[in-house]
Amino acid sequence: MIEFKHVFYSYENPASNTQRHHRRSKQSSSTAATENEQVANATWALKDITLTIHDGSFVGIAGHTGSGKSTLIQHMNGLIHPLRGAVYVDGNDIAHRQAAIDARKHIGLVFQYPEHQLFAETVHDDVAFGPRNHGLPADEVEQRVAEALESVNLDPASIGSVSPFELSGGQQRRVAFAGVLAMRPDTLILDEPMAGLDPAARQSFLDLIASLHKKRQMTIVMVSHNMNDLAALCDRIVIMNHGQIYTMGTPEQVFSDASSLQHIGLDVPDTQRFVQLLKDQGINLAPHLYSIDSLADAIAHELGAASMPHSTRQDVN
Amino acid sequence: MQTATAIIGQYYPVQSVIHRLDPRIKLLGSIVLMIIILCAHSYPMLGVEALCLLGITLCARIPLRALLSSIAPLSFIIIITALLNIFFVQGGTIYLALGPIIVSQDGISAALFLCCRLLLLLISGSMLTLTTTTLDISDACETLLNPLKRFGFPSHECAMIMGIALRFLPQFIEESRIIKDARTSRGAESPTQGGIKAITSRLIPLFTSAFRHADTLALAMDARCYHGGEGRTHLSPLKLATRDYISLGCMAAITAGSFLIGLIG
Repeated sequence: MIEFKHVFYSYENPASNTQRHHRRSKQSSSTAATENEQVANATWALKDITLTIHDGSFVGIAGHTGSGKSTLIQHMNGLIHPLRGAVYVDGNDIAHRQAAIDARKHIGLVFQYPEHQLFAETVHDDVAFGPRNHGLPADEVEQRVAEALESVNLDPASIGSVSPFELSGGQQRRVAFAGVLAMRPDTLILDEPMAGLDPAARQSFLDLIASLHKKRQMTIVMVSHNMNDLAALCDRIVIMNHGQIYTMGTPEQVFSDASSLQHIGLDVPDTQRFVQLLKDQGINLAPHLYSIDSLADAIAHELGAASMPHSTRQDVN
Repeated sequence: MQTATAIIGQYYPVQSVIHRLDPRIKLLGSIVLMIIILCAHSYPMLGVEALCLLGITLCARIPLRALLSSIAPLSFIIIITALLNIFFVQGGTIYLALGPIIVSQDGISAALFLCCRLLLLLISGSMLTLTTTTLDISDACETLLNPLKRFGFPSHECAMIMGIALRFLPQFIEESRIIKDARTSRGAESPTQGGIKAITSRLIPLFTSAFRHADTLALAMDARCYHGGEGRTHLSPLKLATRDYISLGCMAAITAGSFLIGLIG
């Protein structure tokens, strides 16, 4: 479980990381006073974020560029620490160095374009980087590498000894993804995992993420611009705007009001946009979150009710 | 982005006479100043340059603190040179003798003089970058090196290379930060853990990204029909104004003055 409690963060103050440690050691009134000034003056990348990510949930994060999404996820495994407030992982404040190290063992963070970070001579070595850093014995490392490669649908025997730079873009991303899975995280944080992939690779990646969530009960936090993906996969969605949480809730709650999302320059799922267009034309459907199938049913029902005489409908039935 | 602010002598954006000067004059001026400082062999001569730099700082409306913090990352050079001089220049009264380590009067005075000289050198260098944007500096380099074209020197290409290098510096700082974060997320706790392996794990992605950027940039330049410096015009051509001629005069006077003081002193 990852909990954010009144988290503030700013990039403007380069001393922000050390400042918090100072505050922990000497909690004098003077530092508290300067902090209050900071709250008033600074430009916050994150402002008063309170949020809980429960075990086993699938949380989507959306927001336009510069809304604080990336900053938010980097707090989740202690890469950056809040200037004010705290982030707790399973009840431990990860501002403490050791707590952050422990948290990283079971929270895997996949950056944007992770294939840009491949470095090893072979696919095997690249995937083994994480487990080796945790000082696992060699046979355990082998086992995890094989398992991770298999779970991203790559054959460890044939691809393990290949240089990662010889692979296609989609395969490279799978290898990078396996590098994080090899740590056997129970929580995965994904920063736009599908960016720059072709439609086929995109879909198989989505399926992979969905199966990790369903079959292995992984907690998933996914940043994405694609509202269709978020609506289909997530059970909770957080919309960020100017470093603050704009709305938060189930996809149904978040997407049922299309206009408020469009107001802050965000898209809504195609189905919801269609509902909106129908509404403008005077056809009112019940405010739900629709999939393509359920939307088709609802429209058929609405049209049927309007045009079909009672008798024919009974005949059809 | 935090690290980007620590770059030595980053442009300090204010409006001032010095900022408006032609970059060629500023480049020449700082080179001339550096030569004089290197030639200086007495305190009066250094004093003249110090006064001169102080005057420029005031004209450029750069706070002393910003000036000093711009050269702070290089202070280790000054400290090392001073220490070397203290220990290796011998002569005069001996103040301290601990086995092979001997601190003498001549050593200390040599160290002090070199410190002042280096400090002024660094200040005159960073004065240029504080008051001139990198684009202007590379433009100035190009036009100043243009006469060498006759001997086949690729002045435009050199300036272009310099401009690109400076343009990508912040980009690579940001990318290396992301790579470091990704490594940390995968359990690499300190940069030293894992020895050479840990270093390559950070350098190789940086190199591949440099090649990737080079490829795309070359493609983008081709797509915009870039074909080198031949017949290329400037958006804002450099043109000498009255203030540039005045500062050229000042420069000549200062040069003559300092060497005169050097001869007398």
